Amino acid sequence: MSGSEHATPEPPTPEGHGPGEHGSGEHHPFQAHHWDTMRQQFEAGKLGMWLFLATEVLLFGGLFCAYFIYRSNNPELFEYGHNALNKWLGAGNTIVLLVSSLTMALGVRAAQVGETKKLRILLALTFVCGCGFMSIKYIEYSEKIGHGYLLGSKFDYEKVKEHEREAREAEAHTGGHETEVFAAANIPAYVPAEKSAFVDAPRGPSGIAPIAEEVKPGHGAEDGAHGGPGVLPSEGRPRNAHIFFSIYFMMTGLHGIHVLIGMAVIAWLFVTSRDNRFGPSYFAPVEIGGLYWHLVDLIWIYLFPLLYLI
Amino acid sequence: MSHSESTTTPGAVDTRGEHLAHPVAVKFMAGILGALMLLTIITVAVSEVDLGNANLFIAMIVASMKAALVALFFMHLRWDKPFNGLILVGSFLFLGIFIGFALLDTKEYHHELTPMLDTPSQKVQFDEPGQ
Amino acid sequence: MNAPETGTAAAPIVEAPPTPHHYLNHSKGFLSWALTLDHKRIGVMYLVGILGCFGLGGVFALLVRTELWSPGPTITSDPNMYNMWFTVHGAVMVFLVIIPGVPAALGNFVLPIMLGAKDVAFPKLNLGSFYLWVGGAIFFILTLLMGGVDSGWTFYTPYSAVTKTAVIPAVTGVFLLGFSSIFTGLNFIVTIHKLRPSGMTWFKMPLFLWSSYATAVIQVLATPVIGITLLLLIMERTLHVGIFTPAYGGDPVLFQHFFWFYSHPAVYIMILPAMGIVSELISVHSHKRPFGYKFIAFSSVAIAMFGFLVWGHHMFTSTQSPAMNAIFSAITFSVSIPSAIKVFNWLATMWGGSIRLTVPMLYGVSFIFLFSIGGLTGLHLGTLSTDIHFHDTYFVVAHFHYVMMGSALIGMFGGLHHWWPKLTGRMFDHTQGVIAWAFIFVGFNVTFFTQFILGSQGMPRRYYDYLPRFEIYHKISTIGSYLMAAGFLVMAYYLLHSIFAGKQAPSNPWGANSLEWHCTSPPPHDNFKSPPPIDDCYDYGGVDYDPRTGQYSSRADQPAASS
Repeated sequence: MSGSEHATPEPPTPEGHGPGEHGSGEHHPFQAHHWDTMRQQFEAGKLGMWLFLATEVLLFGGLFCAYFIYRSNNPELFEYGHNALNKWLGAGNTIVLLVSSLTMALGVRAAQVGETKKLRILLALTFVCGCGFMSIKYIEYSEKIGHGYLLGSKFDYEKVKEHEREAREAEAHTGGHETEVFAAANIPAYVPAEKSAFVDAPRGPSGIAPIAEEVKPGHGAEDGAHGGPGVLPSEGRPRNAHIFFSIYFMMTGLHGIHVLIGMAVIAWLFVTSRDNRFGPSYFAPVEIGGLYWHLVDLIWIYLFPLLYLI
Repeated sequence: MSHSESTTTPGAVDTRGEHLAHPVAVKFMAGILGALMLLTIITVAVSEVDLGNANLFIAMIVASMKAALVALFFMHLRWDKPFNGLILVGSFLFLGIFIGFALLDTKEYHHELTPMLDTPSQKVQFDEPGQ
Repeated sequence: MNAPETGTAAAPIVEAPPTPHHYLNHSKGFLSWALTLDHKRIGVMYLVGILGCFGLGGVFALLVRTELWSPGPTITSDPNMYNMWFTVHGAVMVFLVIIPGVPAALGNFVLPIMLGAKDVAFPKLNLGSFYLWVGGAIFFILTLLMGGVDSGWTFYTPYSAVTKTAVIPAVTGVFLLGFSSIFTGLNFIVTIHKLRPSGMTWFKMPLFLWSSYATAVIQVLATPVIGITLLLLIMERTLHVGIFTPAYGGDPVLFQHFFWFYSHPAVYIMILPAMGIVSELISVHSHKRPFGYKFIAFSSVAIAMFGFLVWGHHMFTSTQSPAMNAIFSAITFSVSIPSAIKVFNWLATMWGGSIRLTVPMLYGVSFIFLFSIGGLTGLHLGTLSTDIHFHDTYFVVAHFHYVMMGSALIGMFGGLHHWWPKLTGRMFDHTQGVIAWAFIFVGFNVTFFTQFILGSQGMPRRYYDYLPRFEIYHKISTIGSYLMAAGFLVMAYYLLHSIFAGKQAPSNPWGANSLEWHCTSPPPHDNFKSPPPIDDCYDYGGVDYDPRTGQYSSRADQPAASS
């Protein structure tokens, strides 16, 4: 599915000349037989990639739609959730991706002017930035998972409560110092009777799980929870907290998969560029692979503030 | 912007003498990265201040500015065929239709849903009565 | 009337050398097909696969109809089995047959030749999308082996998130088919943009290309949303992420928004290419320029755009808010404008034309009739008050079968017969073609018109059992489905027979003038030795009927044809 796949050169076929060609009409070695000119082939490849990017925008769009729907209906989920994320790791990821976008853009330039050595260095740098992004993502994910913040029914309420209690205690010790993890000061005492949402939920005869425990408002929260959107139940964690982490993991996870695909494309470009094939008349794969990489950057530009900052 | 035209490379030429490439000056690209970094700092700084709903609004504006910079310059839309830009804008437009209508609807019916979620579970669950 | 098929008068086929070189005998062996980048071979492979799946879906349809022969158990005593039958029938027909049917099979074959191009823009991507289709089909077979799926082809949550049947393989299959469809659409858009010869302006394109373009836009913009929806459904089933299922804190109406944002435009993915085929059929077999070319062209684009704005009319009874119901209902009515423009323009095209009731034309005319019924009954369903009564009844079933089968598939079979001589280089038997058409047309109306009556009397869809007073209608409907099955068996017979024993097809059996009729039947590997001259594809003045040979010849091709 690598976007630049369709720009893969085909061996020129000897009988593929259109009659309108010049007498000297030697085909470029990377011109496929059904194109009249390199320009036509190049522009078609780019148009195809832009169309593919449009499909990517709409693919992510479904998750963005889920995000906005749940944000508008349950703002307290996002208020709670973004405080549990580490915005500095998110910002670090943003910077790494932005830098990689520059190196990629410069790589395209190097390909355009035929500086193969420079191109390969820049591709390698872009790849390294991709590795950096994934490493930060790994640190972030393992921290979240370690504290029980996971998606859906894997969200571990016991662990999360434990973590929240520790965070609260740490905050008390440092005397009101604002921790990054928990800004909320009113996290109540740990209530051991409360069960994890799904693990113990009995199944009805039809195989449909009844409304999970966590959905029921707590005793003290009965009034608060009804008070309208934005009101945190008194225990500090809104019900259905797992939904935020579902959205968070699915959005960043799908994005991470795209980063990996982009890195594979870049690695492929790095390998193929060793024979000096890219130059002023043929750089379409670099340009088109670059477009894909920039789109990955573009999506992260929206993900970062939506998930980490607000 | 004037940087963009200041390339000294002869330009890319295919076998039939057509210009394919539009190399952009390195300094100009570095400047774009600088602007992107600045906007990132702004968006983080603004998020430290609680402005209510305006936070979301500002963050989206800043993100869109950054996205525009990436699309126009790193992705070369500034110099590309307008149709490619139209595809990108079109995809955002259709995404807007999708999210817009879905959001409009959920706003309308959500107030009917919330009390259902808040009632004790036996009223909403799918079990047979008397369970 | 039937001159092209039967008027041979023992005349030799003039333009066929003993063993002409064409795409079918260009190279031999399994790999020369499995790894081919030739759009024509890929189109043929799609066609074989799609027709095979049509047979599979048809068998399930017959099972459903047979079960409904009498109230209570008829051939199975397990209602869940019945649920699986209609789910598999619906999912196979929609995702494996109708959506790829015209664009991927016929479109792949015809579109580049109509443009005078050597191939589609990205041949490797084209082959890749074929294998994605194969992957989707394999997942569907896997679904059947794992006991089937019973959620209905719409996979509505919360049921699809909790049912014990094989939802995940089915959904994975649909996901792959979605990407197959995206890549086909992407390929077509780039092909039409970049491989259109300079002499062929947008308004000189055959109308089939306009509708293919409009379809491709929908494929590219809508299909990714079903992709992410199905991924979310898989996540919902496996990890209970809580987006679509109330038990996990989710919102099931949201699933319907996600699903129909794709699946309503998908209705136009199915119908628009068929409309494009009918535009060709009506013009060619009436030997008359399409009336209102630009109106037909723009109405395709208008239908594609409106298609994105009406998805909520599937959700009138799903607790969608009254405000949105009103908005979606109003926009739904406006879709009838471009649809009616097409119908009236087709009728005006036929008016005063020299109409030949060839087999393709019979399907073309049937399309207009059946689509009118399907479209007009859509107004009952787009109206909020009547939809409350008709929702989830056989009225809906009849309506969408008139559109999906009566229009989209009838259009596809019209195109199949129209281009069959070009595809295979053989003529099918006219008389048998008419017999098969008659069985299908009559059988279709007997089957589904009855269901309008059933539905308006309150018979709900998807029910295994029913009240005795509905029995007579169900019996009529089932008989109709057997008539249709007989018609398709006859069709399968004469089409297969023609491949082995059919007459050699001339390059232009119908007297058409678009570019695909200017190359030999079947086309050579490269389609055209040299770029063909671009002239008006609907100008039939230069196409002459030769009563001696019973064939048409184009004056532009005269030197080659009479050599």
